[in-house]
Amino acid sequence: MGKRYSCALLTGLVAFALTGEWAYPASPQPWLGTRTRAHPTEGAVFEQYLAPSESLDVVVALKLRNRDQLGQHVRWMTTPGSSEYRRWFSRSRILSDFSPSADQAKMVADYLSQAGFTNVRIEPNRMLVRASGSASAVRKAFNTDLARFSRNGRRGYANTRDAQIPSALGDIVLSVLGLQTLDRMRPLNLRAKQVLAAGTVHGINPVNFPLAYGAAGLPPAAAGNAAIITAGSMTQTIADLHQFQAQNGLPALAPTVIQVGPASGDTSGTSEWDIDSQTIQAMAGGQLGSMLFYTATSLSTSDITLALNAAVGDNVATVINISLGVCERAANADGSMSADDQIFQLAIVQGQTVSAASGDSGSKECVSRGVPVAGAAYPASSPFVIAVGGTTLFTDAGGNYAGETAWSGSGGSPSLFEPAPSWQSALGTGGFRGVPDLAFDGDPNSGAIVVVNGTNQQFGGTSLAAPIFTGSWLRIQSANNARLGFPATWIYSHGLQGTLAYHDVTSGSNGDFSAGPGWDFTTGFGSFDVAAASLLTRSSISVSVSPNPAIPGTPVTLTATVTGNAPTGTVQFQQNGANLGPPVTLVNGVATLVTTLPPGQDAITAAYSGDLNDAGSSTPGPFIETVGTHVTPVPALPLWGELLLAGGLLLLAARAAAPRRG
Amino acid sequence: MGRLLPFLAMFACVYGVLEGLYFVLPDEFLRDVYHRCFTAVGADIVRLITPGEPVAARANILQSSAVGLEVVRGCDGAGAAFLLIAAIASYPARLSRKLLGVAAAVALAYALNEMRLVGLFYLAVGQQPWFLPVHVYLAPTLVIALSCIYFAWWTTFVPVRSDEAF
Repeated sequence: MGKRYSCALLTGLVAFALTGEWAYPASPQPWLGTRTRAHPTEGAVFEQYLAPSESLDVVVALKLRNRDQLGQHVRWMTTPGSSEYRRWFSRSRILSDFSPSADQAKMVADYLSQAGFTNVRIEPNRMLVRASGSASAVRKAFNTDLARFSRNGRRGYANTRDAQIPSALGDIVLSVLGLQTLDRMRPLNLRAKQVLAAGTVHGINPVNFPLAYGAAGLPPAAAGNAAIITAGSMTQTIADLHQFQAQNGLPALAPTVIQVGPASGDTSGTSEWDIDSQTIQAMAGGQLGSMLFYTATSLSTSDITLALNAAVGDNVATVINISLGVCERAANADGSMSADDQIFQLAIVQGQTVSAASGDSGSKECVSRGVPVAGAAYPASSPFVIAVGGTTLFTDAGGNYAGETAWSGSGGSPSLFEPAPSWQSALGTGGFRGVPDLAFDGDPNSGAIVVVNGTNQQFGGTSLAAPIFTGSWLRIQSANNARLGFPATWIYSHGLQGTLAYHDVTSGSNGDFSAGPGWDFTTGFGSFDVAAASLLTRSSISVSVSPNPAIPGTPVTLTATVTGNAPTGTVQFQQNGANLGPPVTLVNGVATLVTTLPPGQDAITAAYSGDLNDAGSSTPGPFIETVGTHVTPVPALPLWGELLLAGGLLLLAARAAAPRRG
Repeated sequence: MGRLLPFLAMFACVYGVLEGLYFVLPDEFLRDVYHRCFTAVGADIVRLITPGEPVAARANILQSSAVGLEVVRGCDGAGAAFLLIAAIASYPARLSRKLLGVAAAVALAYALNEMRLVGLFYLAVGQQPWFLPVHVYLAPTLVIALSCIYFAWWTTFVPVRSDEAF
C-alpha cells in the first residue's frame, strides 16, 4: 500500500515538474475567456513547450465601445436611401465614440507591464496594444501555455489552451494575437510555368487590363489613394515597380512605405507585392494620388492585423488591398478574425473599402492532416470586405474582353463562422457569408506579366484578381469624384437586378461549386465593365432657392434636382453647413423644401442620399441666398417741414379770413 | 385782426392736444395700426401695380428683398394731418364744414403718405440713388404743398362772415 502511494506521489511530482506548474503559481483572480482559443493543431507534431524565457510579441485586441451602434452605422452608411448613406465618420469621431477609451487601453497596457511585458505600446486608434515578452509572461498574463509544433515541414508555436484574462479586463479585451505562428497568412499567388505571350489563353501585361475590363475610357484615378498590406522588405518591390513603370511609360509613382513593427529583410513576398503594386497602378490608369505600403514585420496574423489597423487608423487610403489569406479556422481560433472584423467595420464607416483575395485553393481553403477540408480563406470571408475570386480571362486580338470562365483555384465557399451580411440574405448561403463577391482574372495561365526581381514573370491567383478590383474601384471613385466607400450593397443590388455592366461567369468550377447564372460560390457576380459600372454610381445634384434675394420672414423654396438613373431617396438641405429640416424625399428627381431664412447671406447646399442605382452626391458648391437685411424708418415730415406747413396754413387761413374789401 | 389771436391760440391748442394724445399712444398699438393701415395696404398696392415684385408687410415694415421701410411714429403723416386739422378746427366756419374738412384732410394725409411709402418702396428696390433725395426733400415738400393747396381749396368753400374776419 505504502509503495503504491509512493509511486503515485512520484508520478504526480514528475508530471507537475514536466508541465512547469511549479514555476507559475495559479493566479488568485478569476479568469475569463477571450476570442483566442486553444489553437487547432491537428496534423501537427508536438515538439516541446516553449522555455519560460523564450521571447515573443503579442498584440492584444481591445473591444470596440458602442459596438451595436457601430454595426447600425455600418448598415445605414451602406444602405441607399438612408440619411446616413455614405456620410462617413472622421477619425476623431471614431476615437471619441467607438475606439476603446484611453483609460481602457491604459488598463491593458498596465496589466501587460505588470505581467512582465516590455515595449508596451498602445496603437494610435487604441484598437490594439502590442508588447514584447516571454513565454512565462504570456502564461502569467493569459493563463495559457505555448508549445512548439511542426506541420508539413513548417515549425511554429501555438497556445495549447484558450487565452484568458482577469475578469476586470473582461469588458475590454477581445482577443490575444501573437500566441501562434503555426498558421500564417500566405500570399495568394501562383506563378505560371512560363510566360505565355500568345495563345487562346495567354499572359496579359497589367497595363492592358483596363482595356480588357472596359476601364480605358475613364480618367485615371489621379486622386485615389491605394494601400497595400505587405510584409518584409519592400526594396526590391519598389525597384520592380519603377522598372515596370519605365517599361510601360507609366508615371514614376513612388510608393510610400509605412513600416508597422520592426523592419524585416524577408523578400519571400516580393512577387506578391510586385503583382499588387503593378496591377493597381496599371488598372488605375497609371496615376494615383498615392500608393501606400503598410508593411508588417512578418505574415503572422498578429503582424498583419497591426498593419491593417495602421491603414485603417490613418484613414488615408480609400481602398486597401489584401492579397493574403489564411484558413478561417485558424483566424477564428487565434482571435484575429474577431479583431480584424472590428477594424474592417471602422474602415467601412470611414468610407474605406477593403479588397481581399478569396484564396487559390478552390472550394476548400483549409487543410487538415494533409487533406483539404471545408473552410474559406480569411479575411475574404469577413462580411466587411469585398472578396475577389479568380477567373480565366479571354481577350480578342485587340485586347478587348472576350469572356471569362471560373478558374479552378478560385476560392469560394460558405464561411464556417461568419454570418451572412444583409446584402447576401437573398442568395441562400445557408445563413453564412458566401465567398466571393466578384471575380477578376486570376488564372495563372491568363495571369499578369509583371516585373519580379527585374525580370518579366507571369503570375495569377486571386492575388491578381484583388488588385484588379482595387484599381477598378479607385478609378470608379475618381471618375465620380467621391469617396464611394464599401460597395457591397451596390454590387449586390445591381447583381441581383442582372445589370448588363457585369460579366456574369457561367461556366467553370472550383471543386465543390460550379459557376452559373447570377451569383455563385466560384466567381460571385463575376467581373464588371468598369466604365459601365461607373455609370451606375453616378448622380449629380444641384440646388436653387427662390426668390433670391428673399424677404425676411417670408417663405423661400429650396429646390434640389438630382440626375442619375431615375434617382430615388432623400435630399438633406443644409444652411451654412447645418441641416435644414429633415431629409426630403425625391419626387421625379426633385426635392423641395419651403422654409424661412433669417436675414443675411446663407450658403445653401444639399446632399443626395443615393439609392440602389445612384451614388450619393453633394452639391459642388453652395447656392448663396440673400435675405434682405436693411430696414430704414421713413419719417413723413421733418421738423422743418412741419414748421413750413404750419406757417403756410396760418398764412392761408389769415388770407382767406381777412375782411373782403369793396 | 381782433380774431387772429384766438385763431392762433386755438390752432396751437388743437395741434398741441393732438400731438400730446399721439405721443401717449403705445408703440404696440401703433405698430398694429401701421401694419393694417400702411404696410399691408402698401404691399397690396405694390402687388397690384407689379404682380411679380417680391414684397411683404412684415408688421410695421414694408419689406422688399433689398430693403425694409419701417413705419414708426412720425412716418405716418400724422404731423401734416394734425396741422391741417388744427387749421381747419380753428378756422371761422360752421362745425359741419369743419367736420367735413377734417375728414377730408385725414383722408388726404393718409393717401399722400401711402403714396409716399409706395413710391419710396419702388425707389429702394430699383432706384437707390434717388431714395434719399426723394425721401428727405421732395416728398416732404410735396406733402406741404398739397396740404396747403387742399387747405386753400377748402377755405374757398367756407364763407366767412364779416364779423368773423381777422
